[in-house]
Amino acid sequence: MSTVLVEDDAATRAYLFDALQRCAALLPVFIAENVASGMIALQKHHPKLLLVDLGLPDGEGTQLISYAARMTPRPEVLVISALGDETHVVRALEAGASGYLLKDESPEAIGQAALRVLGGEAPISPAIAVHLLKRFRPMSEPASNPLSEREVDILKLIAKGLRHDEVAETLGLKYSTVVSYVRDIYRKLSVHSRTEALFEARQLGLLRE
Amino acid sequence: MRLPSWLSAGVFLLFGSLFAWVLSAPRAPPGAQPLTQLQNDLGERFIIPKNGVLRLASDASLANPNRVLRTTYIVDAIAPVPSAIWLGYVNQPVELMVNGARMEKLRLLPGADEAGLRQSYLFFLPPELLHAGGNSVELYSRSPNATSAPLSPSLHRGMLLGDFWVGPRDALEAHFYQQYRIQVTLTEIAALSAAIVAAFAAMLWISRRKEAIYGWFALGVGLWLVYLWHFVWYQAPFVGAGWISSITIALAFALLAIRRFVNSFLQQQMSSTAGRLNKRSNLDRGIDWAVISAVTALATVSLITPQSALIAFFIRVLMPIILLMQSLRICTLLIAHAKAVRRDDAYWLAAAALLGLACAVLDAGTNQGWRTPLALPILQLAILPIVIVFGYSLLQRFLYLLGASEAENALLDRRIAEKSGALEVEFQVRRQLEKEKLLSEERHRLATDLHDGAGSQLVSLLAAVRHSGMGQKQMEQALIEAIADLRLVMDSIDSFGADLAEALGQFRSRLEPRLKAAGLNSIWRTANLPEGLKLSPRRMLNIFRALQEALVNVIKHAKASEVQISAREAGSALEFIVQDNGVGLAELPAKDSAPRGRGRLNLEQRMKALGGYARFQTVYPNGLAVHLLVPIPNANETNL
Repeated sequence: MSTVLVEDDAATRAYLFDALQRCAALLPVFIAENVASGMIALQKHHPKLLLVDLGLPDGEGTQLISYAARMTPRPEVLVISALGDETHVVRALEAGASGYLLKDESPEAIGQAALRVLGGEAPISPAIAVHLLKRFRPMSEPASNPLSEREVDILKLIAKGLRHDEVAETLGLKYSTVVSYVRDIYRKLSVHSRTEALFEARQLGLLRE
Repeated sequence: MRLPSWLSAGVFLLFGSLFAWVLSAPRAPPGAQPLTQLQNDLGERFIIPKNGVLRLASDASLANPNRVLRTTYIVDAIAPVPSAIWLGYVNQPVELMVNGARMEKLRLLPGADEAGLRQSYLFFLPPELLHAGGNSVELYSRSPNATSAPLSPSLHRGMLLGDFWVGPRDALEAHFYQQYRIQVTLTEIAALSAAIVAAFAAMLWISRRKEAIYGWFALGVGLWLVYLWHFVWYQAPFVGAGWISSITIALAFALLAIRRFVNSFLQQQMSSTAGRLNKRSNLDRGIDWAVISAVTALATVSLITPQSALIAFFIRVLMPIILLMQSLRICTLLIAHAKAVRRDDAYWLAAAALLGLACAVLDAGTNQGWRTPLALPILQLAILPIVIVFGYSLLQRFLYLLGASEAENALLDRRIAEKSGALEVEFQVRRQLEKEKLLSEERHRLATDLHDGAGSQLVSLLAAVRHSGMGQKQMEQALIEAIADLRLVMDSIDSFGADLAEALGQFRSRLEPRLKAAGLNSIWRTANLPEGLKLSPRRMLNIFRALQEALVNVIKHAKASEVQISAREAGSALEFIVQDNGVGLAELPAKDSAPRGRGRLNLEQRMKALGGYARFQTVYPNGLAVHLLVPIPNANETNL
């Protein structure tokens, strides 16, 4: 069990490091300040968990996320989010992240969120749900929409601010089922965005068939 | 332009029955036999052809010094019953001698000899003159100008004979009178028809019905065909002034129709190039009136007096002039047109018209006796080239119009493209302006929201730190609130266009961790809001600020363990209730009353700005309920 934390802001890094240090399950915690050192840390330590900021001095945090998504065993990835930047979070989800973490949360909440991700949960907020609904809506034909009806229902309820347990109660599902649905949605988002990228690349002539 | 169906049907019926009638007329009366051989003074022997039409040697009478040609028929046997000889369509005065005795002739039309018209004759044969064996029948034909010598060879170059029959007197007499009656009756019928048609045509013309010209044309062509048929069949022109006048009338009509047609044809074609052809000139009008009045007068006179010098004057002088004017007018129109458009089809058309005119003049000369009457009319020969040229011209005109319309279409397409390009540019400019206006409004809103919320909180925090120093706990609390407000503002940007239920969900996800951290169990009853309810970002932000204020009041002052947040649509308003199970208003400690009072004041002011109100209500047994009522604005007043 180990954790890699990639964050360029020293104060935030220290705050998060402290918060993570309180959970024995996450130790040891390695820190990095940019994409290059983050990459080295990933290769060297093969962590179970990667916490990564998106705006780094020498590149985008999504580079690290994509890299981590191809590693075996694959680490869980949490993207460190500031305020109201769900667009960035969705981009990170597309790259393969399993959730997000707010910088201004209390140390306890941060530790718990990290542990929940390792336990198989996928943090989601109403704003992210709205983004996902929009993201998949352009495919008007139900047959081509990668999301199932049930998944769309869950996203709609989450968009209205319901917690996972409330969603489970409303739809008559188990809590764990809702959780796995959300993880499936994230996975589909990542696959979907990769398919789209391939399609666009072919369209542009960057790739051969 | 269509000929009225009853008129066309009438014309066809008339000519159809006329042809049928003439064709069905018996060629020879029963019992009559054609004379089969003859010998003339020059020793020539002739076999009379089966159809009974015979042309004698052209210069037979000229060769004879006394201008009289004797032709002897040998008739083997003539029945002893009363017999007669029929001599059809002779163009010269004749005498008939049977066995040396001169026969008295019965003429079809009295006075026709003097008028120079062709005649049929009937000779009665007295039975006592006839021999049982061979009989000699001698025909003396005489040039009309026998006394004036020398005779011009161009005049009367031959004798023309129609049927030559010998047979029972009764049968031939009946045939003769039948023919006579037919001719007289036909004259009347033709003249009457011409008069009626002329009157009708004049009426149509005066009422400016263009279709009338086709009726005239049909009449003219039909009568002209009858005339031609008769000429070819009998090798002789029509007999009778009534017939001649009918044909002349018909020709006048036909030419008038042709000229009107040419005029309208050229008008359509020349509407843009030659203004002077565009309207009927006074000359045309004059010609029209001359034709109509002359034709009507001729028809009337023919009807009243079939034999008159007036008819002869009309036929020989007036009508030729009118016909010539018509033809000349047609030619000048076509030549002017050809000069204006300078296209080869127009030149060809003009040339064809000139050819037709030349042929018509030659034919008229024949009719006037300037040429031999044996010469066939040649206008009919000119018709084929004229039709071909006209067809060619029509084809060229069609191709020309096709090309012109294609060019016109291309021009229109280009103009439309230009116009739509300009419109597109204008549309883009307008859209850009709209966009900039919206952006500017949104920027202004954001600046105001940031200034009123997080900005002023940070400034007051800075002042508090500078003035009195601040505990870390207080500072953290102030920062949390500033960040919370900043987050509300950013959410309001992010949820632009989202519906209220979704925005409220987002608000819940922001506030729930804070409530939980403060030890408050929160129950949200917000799922019943209708979907698709949209408010302006500013209105939503103000509602959420009010809700946040109410919740922060609960955290700070209420000492509660649970808070319920509910939202519902109540008519044209939204109702939010924040209810806690804390101390309520009455049990507030003295030192807390001021902040809580200020919170209440803030809430009331905010609600007022939204056009609603806030109501505070103590709940039994403990707690406080804050009711916030916000009207839903109409779709067209989206701000605030």
